[in-house]
Amino acid sequence: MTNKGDDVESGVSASRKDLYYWTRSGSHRPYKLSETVAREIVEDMLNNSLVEGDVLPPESAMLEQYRVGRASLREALRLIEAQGLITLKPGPGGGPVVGDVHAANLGRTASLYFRFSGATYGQLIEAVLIMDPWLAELAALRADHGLAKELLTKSIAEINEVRGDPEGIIRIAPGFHQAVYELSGNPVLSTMTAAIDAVFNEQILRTIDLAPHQEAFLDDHQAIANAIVNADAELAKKLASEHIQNVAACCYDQAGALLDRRIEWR
Amino acid sequence: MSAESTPESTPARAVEQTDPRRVIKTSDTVALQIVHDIKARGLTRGDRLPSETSMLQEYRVSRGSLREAFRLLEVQGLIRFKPGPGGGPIVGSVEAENLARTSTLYFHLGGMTYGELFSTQELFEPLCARLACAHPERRERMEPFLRSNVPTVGPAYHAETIRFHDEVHQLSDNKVLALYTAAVTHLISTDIMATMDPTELFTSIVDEHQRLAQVISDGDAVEAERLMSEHFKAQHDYCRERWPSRLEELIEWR
Repeated sequence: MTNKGDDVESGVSASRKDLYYWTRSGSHRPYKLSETVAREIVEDMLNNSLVEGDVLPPESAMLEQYRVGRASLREALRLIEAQGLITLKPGPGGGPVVGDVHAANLGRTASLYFRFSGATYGQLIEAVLIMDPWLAELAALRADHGLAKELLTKSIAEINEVRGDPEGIIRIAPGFHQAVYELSGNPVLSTMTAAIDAVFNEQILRTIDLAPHQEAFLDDHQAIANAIVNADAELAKKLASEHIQNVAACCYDQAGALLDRRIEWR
Repeated sequence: MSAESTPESTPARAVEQTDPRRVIKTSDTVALQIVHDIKARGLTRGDRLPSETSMLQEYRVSRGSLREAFRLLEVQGLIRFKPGPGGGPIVGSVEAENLARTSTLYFHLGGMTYGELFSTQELFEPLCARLACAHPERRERMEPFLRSNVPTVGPAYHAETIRFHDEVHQLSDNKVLALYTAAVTHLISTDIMATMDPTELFTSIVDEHQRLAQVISDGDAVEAERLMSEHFKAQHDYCRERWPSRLEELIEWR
């Protein structure tokens, strides 16, 4: 944080020279002032322990606090909003409201990169096929028994509620997989996987008729949940692997044309 | 994205209730349209986008919304602005480090630590090495890394190291996993390794790269996965020993 009058500035703590060596030379993009302000706003949200639904100070107060122009402040807020971390309520009296940290929003940003790099839906499915069994295995290995029971009992109750409802599986599947990811004990891995899973759900699974397989998939979920609660890592991995392969088989059957297509950004 | 309604005339709409995603604004819609048009026109890195004036007409949005859309893409490095007369928006490039930067916002807010980033690298990097062993061009593409006179100091060392790991990520032949792995490895390089600068490790790192290149070239997936795992675990142990507090620290967003 030095001269706020500059349009760009360096926000890195290791020296430029070190980073130059350690990263792809020259590709380190300088920060815009609005990005620096965004960072400060997020830090303040954390320091003040703001949670979902809390309201940030009004614009006039923020202009004073961060000592930037209105345009930079609004841009900063917009950058944070683009990740779903605040919502800017339109209209008079509306101020930024703290939102939720949701991996689906990271998924949306990641899919922009997938779009540019030419990643295909086939590669997206392959990534899910690899990652899901890993996380189920880690969940069974590492999860705190009580926590696993609590999270998965909720999932199992949901499973029983939606049996017979043809749209039930698509409604509860993301929550089940998310619970397994969280139990893996590695939130970085869990967040990245949940982001991929969100793109997979939104761009592939939603276009697929899962009704004929609903009961089988619900059974799979139940069996995976049991294996994790029983801390049987090998079984959890095997079941998760079989389950996700069956899901992928549905995708290949019904959306085979999609596989070589490039992932879209939506 | 369709042409039947101009984005500006569409009020910001809330995504369905069960969908946790945020509200889509005009500038998001314009950003989608710009990306769509970049791809539809086959524009690549360095190509010029239409001028701001013609985009304003084409997308029928306010200058404010258009500029906001530019900025949303610019912070991801996917478009850039060429300064000076005749300058304007040009197509940028996909850099894992920009995705890494956005990801750290989530990691930071989620209270995640560098130790957890290490464990993630220990899973992703060996996976890429394993997948690389199935790539039909693995021999040609690993060949440059088989030579033994690789620099072990200075910028040449760093450039070579980045090139090696980049090539392994690309050989995984899965752009989703390659991007994720590159993002994680980039974060560890800048936030930990760049500060520690463990020069006494460089000789063994170079040796390990050479062995890995050989094993991947041979297509030995099991051995490649094992060696890559050891390669990073050795570096992580080094950090754990000398900078244990760092592993407990929150991943920075910067």
